[in-house]
Parts: sequence; C-alpha cells; structure tokens
Amino acid sequence: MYVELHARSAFSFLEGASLPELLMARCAQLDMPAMALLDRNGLYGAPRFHIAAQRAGTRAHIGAEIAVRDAGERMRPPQWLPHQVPIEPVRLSILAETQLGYQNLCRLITRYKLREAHKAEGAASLSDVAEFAAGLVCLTGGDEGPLAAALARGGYDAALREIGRLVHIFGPRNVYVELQRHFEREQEHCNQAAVRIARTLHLPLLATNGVSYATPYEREVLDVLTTIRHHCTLETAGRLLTSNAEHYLRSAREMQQLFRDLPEAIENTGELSARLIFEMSDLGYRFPDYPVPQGDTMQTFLEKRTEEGICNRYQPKCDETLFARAQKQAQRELSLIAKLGLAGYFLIVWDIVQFCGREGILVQGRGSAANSVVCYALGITAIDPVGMDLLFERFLSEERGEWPDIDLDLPSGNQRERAIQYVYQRYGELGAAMTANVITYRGRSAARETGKALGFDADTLNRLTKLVSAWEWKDKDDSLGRNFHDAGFDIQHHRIAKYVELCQRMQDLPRHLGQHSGGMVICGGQLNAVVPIEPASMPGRTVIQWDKEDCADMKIIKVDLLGLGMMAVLKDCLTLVPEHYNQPLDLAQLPPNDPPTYRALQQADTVGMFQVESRAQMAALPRNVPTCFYDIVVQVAIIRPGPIVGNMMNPYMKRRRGREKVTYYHPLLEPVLKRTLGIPLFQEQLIRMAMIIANFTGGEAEELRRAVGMRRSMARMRDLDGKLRRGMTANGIAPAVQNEIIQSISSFALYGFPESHAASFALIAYASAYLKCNYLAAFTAALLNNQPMGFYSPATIVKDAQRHGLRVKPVDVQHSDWPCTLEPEPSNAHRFTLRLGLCYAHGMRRDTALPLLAARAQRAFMSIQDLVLRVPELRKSDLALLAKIGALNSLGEVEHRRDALWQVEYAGRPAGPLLEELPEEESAASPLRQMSIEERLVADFSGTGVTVGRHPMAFHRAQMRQMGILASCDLAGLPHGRNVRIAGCVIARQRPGTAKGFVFLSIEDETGIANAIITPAVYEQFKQVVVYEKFLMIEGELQNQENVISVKAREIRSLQISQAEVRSHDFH
Amino acid sequence: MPAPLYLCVHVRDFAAQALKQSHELGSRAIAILNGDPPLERIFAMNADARQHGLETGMSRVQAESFPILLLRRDRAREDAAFAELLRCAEQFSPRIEAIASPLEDLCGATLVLDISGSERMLGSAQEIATSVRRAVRAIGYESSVAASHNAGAALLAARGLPGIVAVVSGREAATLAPLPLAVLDLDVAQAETFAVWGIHTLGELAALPTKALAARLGQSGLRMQAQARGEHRHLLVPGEEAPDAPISESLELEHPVELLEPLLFLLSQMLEQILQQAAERAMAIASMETCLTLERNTLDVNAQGPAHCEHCRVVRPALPEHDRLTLLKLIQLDLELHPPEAAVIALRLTAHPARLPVAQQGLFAAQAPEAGHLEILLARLRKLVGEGRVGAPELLDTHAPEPFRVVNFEIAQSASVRKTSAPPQHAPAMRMVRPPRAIAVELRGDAPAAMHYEGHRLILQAGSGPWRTSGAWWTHPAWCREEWDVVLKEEPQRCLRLAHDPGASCWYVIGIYD
Repeated sequence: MYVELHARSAFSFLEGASLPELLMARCAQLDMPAMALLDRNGLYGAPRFHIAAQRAGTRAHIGAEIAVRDAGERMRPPQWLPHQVPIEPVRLSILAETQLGYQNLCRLITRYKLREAHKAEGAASLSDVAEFAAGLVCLTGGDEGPLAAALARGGYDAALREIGRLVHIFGPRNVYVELQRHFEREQEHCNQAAVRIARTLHLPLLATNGVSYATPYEREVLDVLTTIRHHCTLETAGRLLTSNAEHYLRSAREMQQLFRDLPEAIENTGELSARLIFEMSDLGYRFPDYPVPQGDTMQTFLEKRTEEGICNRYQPKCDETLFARAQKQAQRELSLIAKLGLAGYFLIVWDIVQFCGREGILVQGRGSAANSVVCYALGITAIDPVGMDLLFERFLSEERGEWPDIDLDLPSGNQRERAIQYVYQRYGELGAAMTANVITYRGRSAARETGKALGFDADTLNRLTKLVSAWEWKDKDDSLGRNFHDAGFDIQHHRIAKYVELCQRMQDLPRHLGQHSGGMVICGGQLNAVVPIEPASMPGRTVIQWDKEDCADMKIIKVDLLGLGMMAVLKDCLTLVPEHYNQPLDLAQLPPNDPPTYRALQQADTVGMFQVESRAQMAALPRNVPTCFYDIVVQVAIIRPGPIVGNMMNPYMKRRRGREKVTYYHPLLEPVLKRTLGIPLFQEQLIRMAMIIANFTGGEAEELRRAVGMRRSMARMRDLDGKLRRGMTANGIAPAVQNEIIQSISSFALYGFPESHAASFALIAYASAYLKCNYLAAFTAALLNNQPMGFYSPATIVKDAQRHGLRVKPVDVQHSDWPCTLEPEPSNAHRFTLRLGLCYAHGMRRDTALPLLAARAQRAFMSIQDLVLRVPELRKSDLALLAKIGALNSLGEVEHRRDALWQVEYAGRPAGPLLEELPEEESAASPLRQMSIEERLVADFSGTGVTVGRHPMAFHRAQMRQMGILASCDLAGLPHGRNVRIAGCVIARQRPGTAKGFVFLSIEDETGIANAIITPAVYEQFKQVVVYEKFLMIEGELQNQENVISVKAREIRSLQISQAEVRSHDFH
Repeated sequence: MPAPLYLCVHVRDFAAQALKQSHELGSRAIAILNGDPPLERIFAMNADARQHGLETGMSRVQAESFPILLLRRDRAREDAAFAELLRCAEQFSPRIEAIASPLEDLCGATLVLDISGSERMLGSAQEIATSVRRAVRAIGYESSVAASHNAGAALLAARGLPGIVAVVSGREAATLAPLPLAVLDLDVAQAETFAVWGIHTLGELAALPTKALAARLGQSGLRMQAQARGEHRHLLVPGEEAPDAPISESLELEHPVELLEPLLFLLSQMLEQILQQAAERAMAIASMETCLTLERNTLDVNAQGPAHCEHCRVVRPALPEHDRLTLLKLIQLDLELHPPEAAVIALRLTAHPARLPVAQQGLFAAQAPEAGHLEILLARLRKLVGEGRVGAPELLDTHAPEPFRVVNFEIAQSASVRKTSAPPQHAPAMRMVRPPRAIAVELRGDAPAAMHYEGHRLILQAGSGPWRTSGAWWTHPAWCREEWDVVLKEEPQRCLRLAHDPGASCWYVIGIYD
C-alpha cells in the first residue's frame, strides 16, 4: 500500500497546477486509500480536498508547508551556474495527526501571517514551531525542505544537525525522513545522505513524490504559473522551470518500483497514514455566546426581546388577528430556536443591528431571514412574514441541521466599515474575520497572463484581452479560439494554438486570495484554531483562508455585512430631505400606496430606482402594472434568469392581465401557487411543491432547493431528480406533468429568488421609487454621490432628472461642494436645483478640494489669480481641468472656458517665492475663441462624464428629422409593426445568457430612452458597429405592445454626432 | 549677399514606396509588415492601401481581409533606397540635411537642400523644385517639394502641402496658415494644450500674442510660433558621414573567377583602399563583410529567381584591426572554410570602422601575443575544427542537454574579473563525447544491459538512471532525454554516460567518467 503524503494543489498559489478536487479524484482513480495535502503557508485548499475525499470514499490528511525564517534558505543551484532562483526560507512539511495538531497548525500559520503588517507570505520562527508542535508530524521535505537545504549548505554534518533539531522540536516519533525520486541525479545524492541520517538517528524513512500536479500533462500549466510567479517568460525562466514532468501523482505500483531498494519507505506511508487520525469533519467550531444579564439565559433573553419586538411591530398595525398569528408564529420559531440552540446566533445579529441603530447606520436583513418573525421582531428584517404569509422553513428547519443564514444590507462605504470594525472589536482579532474570495483565472486574466508567459508583447495582449468575448451569452462559435482569431491571431500557428490551449487549461485555477464583499465569520473561542487567519490588503481587516462555500461545507457560520449602494442613497436622503425640504422622512413610515410612485412604476419611468431600472425590468413593468407592494415583490423576482429560462415570465404576465386562464400543474399545488397565479416564482414555492407532490420532508425539500441553487451541486441535483419522480409517481402524477414540474424546478438552478428576499428588496425598491417621485433633487444628488451603482451612468441619470424638471447646474468653484448638493431656486424656495460637486471633476483629488472649500468659506474667490494664490494645493493640471469644464466661469474677468484656460496657463506657471506675490501684468482679453457647442460637450464628458447642457442629440434634431429619424418620445404614439428609424447615444448594451444570443441596446436622445432588439443574425452583420460605435441609427420594425416599446433592428449604422466620450454600461 | 534658398523634399510612406518599387508592383495597394511571426503588424502602407481602410498596427490576419498586397519589411532595401534618394538630391546640392530618415523607424523621408546661388545654373526656385520632383519621380518616388528662403517654412510646406510649392518671400505665414498643427513636431502635452485651446492650424498659432504665448509655453512656445509664421531660422546641418559610417568598395569582374588566389589579389587591393579611407578617419576595422556575387548555374534548368546570388561572409576580429595582411588572412581563412558555390563575377567589401584599440601594457605583465596573430591563429583553428568550436564556453540558464554555447573570446575591459566559485573539487570529472556516438543497446526491462560500442558487445555491470529531463514544450519540437550512468563489466572498468532519446528511440554515448 502506498499513500501520497506530500502534495501541493493549485492553492499553493502558482506552485501547484491541479485543483484539490482533481488531485483527490486522481487519488481515488489510483485506488489510493488516502492522500495528504500540504499547500504552501496555508490550508486554502483543505476544505475542498476534504469534501472531495468524502465523496470519493477516501481519507484526506491535512497539513501545510510552513516557511521558517531561521531554518536557512531553501536549496538553490550552485553559485557557478547561471540562475535566477530568488532567496526563500526553507519550508517545513507538517501534517496534522490529531485535532490538537490541526488547531496548532492553524494557530502557527495565523501567528506568523498576522505578524506581517500587510498581506504577505510571512515566515514562522523555530520558536513558533516549537510552541505549536504538539500533535504535528514533520517530514524533512523535498528540495524546498530543511534537509536538502542543509546538505547544500554544509554537507552531511549540517544536515544531520538540522534533522536533529527537528527531532528535538517534534520528538523522534514525529519526524520522518522524506525521500523523493524525480529521476534527478542531484536528488539521489540527497536521498543517499537522507538514508544515512535516518539510520544514524533511527528515524523512519518515508517515500513521497512531492506532487505538484495530478498528471504529467499538467507540468505545462505549472511552468506557466512559475513564470507568472517570477514575472518572466517561458523563454527566460531557465532553471526556474521544472526539469521534467515527474512531480505527478504516481500509483502505488510505480512508487514501489521506484523505491524497490527501500521498501520500508513505502510501507511507512501506510503506517503514518493510519496514525493521522485527524479529519476535518469536526473542527471544534462554536458560535460565540451572547452575554446576557444575570438570571437570564440566552433563550429567555431572546424571548423577551422578541416579545418586545412583536408588540412594537404589530400593535401599531391594529390588527388583533395578525398580532395573535404573529405571537403564535414567534412561539413556534422560538421553540425551534431553543431546540437547535440558536438563540446566541440571533442575539449576536441583533447586537449588530442594535449597534447600527445606535450609530444611525441604516441596516436591513435580506435573504431568507425575512421569513422569520423573530428576525422581524428583533429589527433584523423589515418584512412582516406573518402578514405576507412567508414560509419559515425556507429559513430554518429542524431536519436540515445547519445554521441559518442572515445577510445584512448596509450603506456601502464608511458606514459598513464601521459595522465591520464593531464586530472585530466585539469578538477580538482572533475571534472574527472576513471570509475569503478566491480569485481565479478567467477568460481575460488567463489570456493576459499566459500571453505574457509565452512572451507576447503588451500591445498584443491589450488588443486580445479587449476582444476576448465578455458577453454573458456565449453562442456555440464563441470559443476562445474565435476570440483569438477576431483579435487578429493566426490560430493555425503552433505557438498560437498552444496559447489557446493553455488559456483553456488555466481557467478556474486560483490566482490569489481576495476578501469576500461582506461575509464575516465569528467564533466562540478562538477562530485561529479553526482556520488560519491572515491580514487582508485593506488596513484593519483580517481574512480567513477559506471562501464562503468552504465555510458552508465546514459548517462555519458567517454573517454577511453587505454594502448596498442604494442603502447609502436612502441614508443620504434621510439627511437631505429634512435639511432642505424641511419635512421629516421615516423610511418605515412611507405612504404605502403613493399614487405618483405607482404611476412611475407602471410607466417604467424607473431610471435610478433600485432593482426595477434595468432594460428588462422596464420592458416588464408596463405589462405587470404594479398596483400594490406585492406586485413589486413579484416584479423584483420575475426578471431573473431562473423565471426567464423557465419560461414563467410570459405566462404570469398573460394571466395577470386575464389573457390566459390560471391553471395549476396539479390540483394539489393550488394553495402553493395561487398567489403567483399558478406560476412558481419563488424558492419557497419550490420547497412546498416538493413537499406536497413528492412527499419530501421539509429538510429534503430544502436540500433540493440548495442543490438547484448551488453551482457545485449539479450532480446532487441529478440524484434528487430520481427521488422527485418516484415521489410524484407515487402520488399518481402523470409523467408529462412530472416533466413540467421538474422543468419549473430546474429553472431555479443558480438564480432562484426566495420570496422573503424579493420582499426585502421590494421594500428598498419602493423607497427609492417614492423618493425619486417626491424628492427628485435630493434623490438624484444622493444617487450621483454614491456612484458607481445601478444600471445607468451619471450622464443618463442627470438627463433623466432634467427631463423630470430638475435643474442641474455645473461644477463651479464658487458654489460647488465636494459632493453634489441642493440649492434653492431663486424664484421658489421650495424647489431645488442640483449643483454638481467637485467630485465630478475627473482627476480632482479630495485632498485638493478640501483646502479650496476652506478658502472659499472665508471669502469668495475674486479671480483666477486669487484662487491660485489662496489654494496653493491646486496644481496646474487641476486648474486646467476646472477651466475646461467651466468651473471657473463665475470668477471675475472670466468670460468663457477658453478665457479661463488662457488665464490658468499663465497663473498656474511655476513662480519662485520672490515673484509669486506680484500682481498679474496681463489684462488683455484672451485671444482664444470661445468653445463651440461640440467642444463644450467633449470637454464636459471628458472632464466630468456628464453634461448639464442639452443632450448631444438635441443639436442635430433638425437633421435627424430630415433623415426620417424619430425621437424616442414619438414612438409611443405609433402603431405596432411600423417601420421606424431611431437614433441616439448607446447607454447600455446587453447580451444576456438567457436571451439566446439576442442583443439589447438602450439608446438615449434628448427626449428619453429607446430600446432596440438585435437578433443574432443582425448582430453578426453589424457586430463592429454595435460593439464599438457611440451613436447609432437603428432602423427596424416598431414593437409596441402593452405599452412596451422597442425597435427590432434590421439595419444599424453609426452616426457622427459628437466626439464626446459618452459611456455606455455594457454587461459583460 | 543673396538671400539663402532652401528646398525640401518629402517622400510620404517612404518604406512602402521603397519596397513597392523594388518589387516592381505598379499601382497596387501594399502594406508592410514588421515583426516576427506570428506577431507581425502593419508598419507602413501606401495611399492606395490607406484608402481601403487599412491602419497601422493591424495584425497580419486582420490585414489579410483587405484586397492588398502584404510585404515584409526590408530594412536593407530601405537603407539602399534612402541612399539612392540622397544621391538623387545630391545632383542639385551638396548641402543636404536629412530630417527624418527611415533608419529612425519613420515612414516618411524628408530632405532639406540648400540651393542658395543655384538659380543661375538651375533656374528659378519653382523650376528647381520641378526638376527635383521629376528626378525623384524618375527613381520611383512620389514626393512633395517646397522651396522657400526659410528652411523651416520649406520643411513644413513640403510636409503639409502636396505637389510643388514655391513659398513667396514674405508670404510664408500666409502659405503655412492653413496647415494642421500636426506638421510641427509637438509632444503629447503640447498637442493636448493646443487642442484644448482650440488651436488647430499654424495660422491660429501664428495669430496668438507672442509675449502672452511665451509667458505660458516658454521658449518652446516661441519656437513653435516662429515656425508657424515661417520665421523660425532653421539651422541647416548638412549630413556628413560619421567616422564610423561603413566604407565600401566594389568591383565587377570581366570574367567569372573560380579560384581563391586571384580573388585574394583583388581583395587585397580593395582592402588597401578601405584601410586608407579608415586611416583618414583615424579608425581601424571592426568588421569586414565580403560579398561575392556568384554566377548562376546555367545548367540547372529548374533554377528560378534572380540571375545572380550573393555569398556574404563577415569576419570580426576581437579588437579593431588595421593591418592589411592580417585582415586579408582572416578573409582568406574564412573563405576557405566557407567557399562560394559558383564562380565569382563581382566583389564588394564593406568595412565597419571603429576606434583603434589603445591599451596600456603593464611593465611587468607577461608578453601577450599580438592581437592580429592571435586572431589568425583562432581563425586557423576554426578552419581546422569547425565553426562554433573555438572560443570560450558560456553556460546557459536551461535544463536542456549541453547547456552551454561557445562564444568568441572577449578582451577583458578591466582587471576586475567576475569571481565565481568553482565546482566542488571532489566531483568526478567527465569527458563529454562530442558529437555523441550512436550505439545499439540491449535492454533488460527498461534498463540497458549491454551495448554495442566500437565494434564490441559490452556487458553493463551496473547502471543508475534514468535521469530524465525535458523542456521547451512550448516550442516545436520540444526536447526530452533520459540519461544513464553505466559501468562496463570488462577490465579495466569504465564508467560511461549514455543518453536515450525516447522520441527517436536512439541511444548514444555522451560522456566517459575519468
């Protein structure tokens, strides 16, 4: 028997070429009973390795290669050889024998990782290793290890001393002298010395293959990764590359053949494997207890808080029945929470929400937590689950045996950071950390890095990576090879063919570790004994070595503190509205049926509104005609890939408008699907359907839901499919109906929405719509101050606001603040204009703007010279920028932008201290002519990204009319099927994965936004124009049905309207 | 003193025009590719190609979709064409300045000629310009020609205006006014500043107030404005041959010569001339290229292509040499090692001069052989053992077999020689067998058991291996190799290194352990 006990995966980041799953699959293929994973300086791949082992029925031993800084430098080629191997510390190969050993390994890695001020590899000291040596087994390693390094450094005696030191640290029983045979002469020299040392010190020998990839073929990928690591090319890498392809996972037979002279080295692998009793099934993770007052338990404390919350939430509703139902549901939930021991979890999330409340930070729970009345009572969520009849089992069930998932939405930016820092402060540096986000090689990054390795120049790579298709939709011909061909590469050339092949093989390999956007892991006891923690790039943050799916697999609870741009907008509105409109604003008490709000939603007048602003939403809103809050819930959920792929959207719309009869797949399903007119739209419905028609238990149904919702679980979904069919057959459901039901369930794969989540989002959507319709100036200012977010660029948001009657003023050094602000209209103090902030001057730094604002607060600027003298922080480029965008036009003696440019060029020149106080000698008017309209547009878009003047199309309207081109506002009055021409600047391009290759364009003119649909054939014909041109003329058939208007393109031409850098939001 | 008169000749798309002419392509649209496959990019094109929408920087694959002829860049051809253009211009004036030469990777070639005082001989400025343009067209290039009393104005007018322009004295500013600013040599920041000011033509630039402009853009602003007004005094710097410019001598033979001896006689004379010219510049010869034009084998009916072909060899002494006999001997030895394949009908010697080596001999330093003698010795050795086998080995950074190359000896520039630690002294020595000897091997399992070497069957007593190496998998073909260290059973025992190429299934002896 042979067990491979030294393997690196791709999670050794650029030092291994195979994913842990692939290594384990190969291990199972070779009938190896177990295998060990020792990644460099971490346990990054351990959970995946462990889960893969569980599925394959093998054992996964866990360990790591630990860099030790005072154990010498790792072996390098002799000095007289030309080489470029960088100096690196020796790495100790360590295996966890027991749970204590695993905990020590985690603590050891955390210790030296956190010692680094910034994100870095780091290295342990021998004293660290000695402190955490209990429960660990040490191998002497391959060429990265201490034995090879000591031999190279000081010969046999040094090596003997080094191994003696390891024996002193780990004990004689826990040090194995490792032998590797990669058919290299120098290695055999090392092996002979190793055998002598083992005999001298009476240590066991251990054969390993120092695996870096699963199969020899992957050596090529490892070589590419090596060049990426060392910033060189394959041609120049020299001896940095491996000398052969022997570092693969060998079978027992091959290893026995290789070590036939030392059979005990093979036998010892089995013995050591048997000794390694630790498995990752139990990590000893525990959620922290919440401190409660004396006399209370966490459960009683939670019950009290819930009771208070129920009263606060439901008594104002003055509905006794509802109140009673809420109390009953709360009792049911609390008893389940008590049974599952989850009171502490709820209290800790409640504690974060309380902190946000105290600090005035908006917070709202999203996801399935909104199904719980306890969460509603505790203020974690804002949706009444009892009133909306939401399914609690989607959130929590006894059978599932897992922790519930509560996600909190916070305003993005500083406020979210404060909440995160509160958690760190509350649970300690070693008690909480962010979850990781593994950044992998994707199309563009793979093409770029592989191209560099193959020695392609930067220009070529830029051209290629720009052209690598990034649409969501991929047609059958949209291969990497075709992208290369489109980029001008000859894919028949062997070097290019190899490039394409390598790019494909690089896909999905880990590149580096980032941090998750908001997932925080909290631990009772010490988190660093469960998983290693390391510093994140962001100051004040730490991150664990696993991503969120690994955490779920390892049953580690995370609380998501997610940043939501719209929450920041709402928060800003909470300040702006009372300050300027002198009206109180309480998001919890918004008028529920505000007519202007619903009118705007029905007319798809939704630019800037949360979740309902996209082109697809706009196309659906006039058909859905929302009239109540639940309609918005449905609206948020229905424009998702799941319902669209499942062909649920159209039937729902028809049924809603009474054009199709409401039917059900089976009479049994009527109670479940009645609310959505017989069409399943929500995950909760999926769960209930499985329970009713296939006799699934709640837990099984939830497992089904998870299987269709997770990328990694497609295989599990197939298993459950059989079970589902058997259950339906038992209930006498016909095979054809079974197929329909399974199709509707499968459509949820990856993209299904829980009803509670949709309801939480719908609340924010309604709030954003209400604010836009009632406080347009404040809402627009907040929206512009929190960019980038949403579907549209600031330019489109400004134009939309202007069409709604808001006056927008340009950036002005005499009036603008750093953010966009409101100014009362001189004629009407209750109407406001929006002043663009200095933050919209591209290239202007806040550090420069603040002294400017401080100087202006003392007194207004008299002239450009005055500005330059009083704000020395302004560089010449800043002044030129401000002049170019017209921000200096209100200064004395400035007549127009070019006048300002002429003056700043003089005033901004470097003058010595002796001359800087001298008055301006020149007073003659600028010789430069005023900017033309086109020049002003170009300056506006390049300098601020927006224009507050007329839309570029407005200047060409007469010409457009001559060409038979209609304005977008004209389309509503024309009949369906008529041939029309429209034109405008492209503001969004989409090729959704669900749309079978169709491309959707949103084009804007001075009257509004028009939508165009491009079939795949037309797209192929006009691809270059569609993708690259800024202004387009589109001719085609008008589709005007149910107030949804679009043009089905037949011909597309580019228009020379303006050179302005208008930007489109392209969905890649 | 009469006012100076200048003439500027601008040949647009010079690289494309040069190549097109050499291939006699008539009026076809052509584009020129630069770079190594598969990364060739469009580097230059003619006007016809530009009209098809072709742009510089396109890849070969992209360019192939246009109905144009794609040619590879030929620097030698560009150099020759530029020399031809210069010769053509020299008919009109000895004082010529080349503003942009193709040697600087620019696609246009611009020559400024000082034709002051030539009017009586060659006619008016307009007539001279016409003659020059006609002469340039006669050698195959379309050009624009401008004449002016201001060299800078002539230069800008030729760059910006087509055909022939005679800039009337005093009307320089008016003539240049409509030209775009692009004809000036602006850097990126200057171009951006003028763009944002709305200054697009030379006329607009000329109209700006001078003092105010100087206050903003400094001296460069003044210079540009003076250029735009046609007032900038361009100081003509006639091109003079640099001391290290190549020296060339050529000779056409009346009859084909097949023997080396008569050739050497002729080469000796040519060498004499070259060395004399080099001596006038106080230079020696760093390298000497011998190009022999060969008579084509008329019996080969399948032979295609030009009527003649060239046999070119370069000798490069370690130190610049100025001794004729030494250089001649080096050329002789090189030609003996690489003889031409046909009779020679023309000779051309091109020498690249360099400064004479100056070295201070140490008073007590050991007497070293003279550099020239040493060079001849090395050349003789090279002739004896083959090219690439004389010199110093240089280790390469690779796992590949034979990880070294032989480079010429270099003269140490200073006493500080890089210290490298020697290989361990106790390591066994091994003689490499070069070239490797092919052998037949009998295997037991995968390991060699016996081998057939030098006519004997030799039993292998022991062996270790295989030692596997492979690499360069990204190239075609990649390499891989297995090596074995074996001990022969026969007395006295010998230890050999064998290599096996799994791809070709061949075995070799590559080394013998001492």
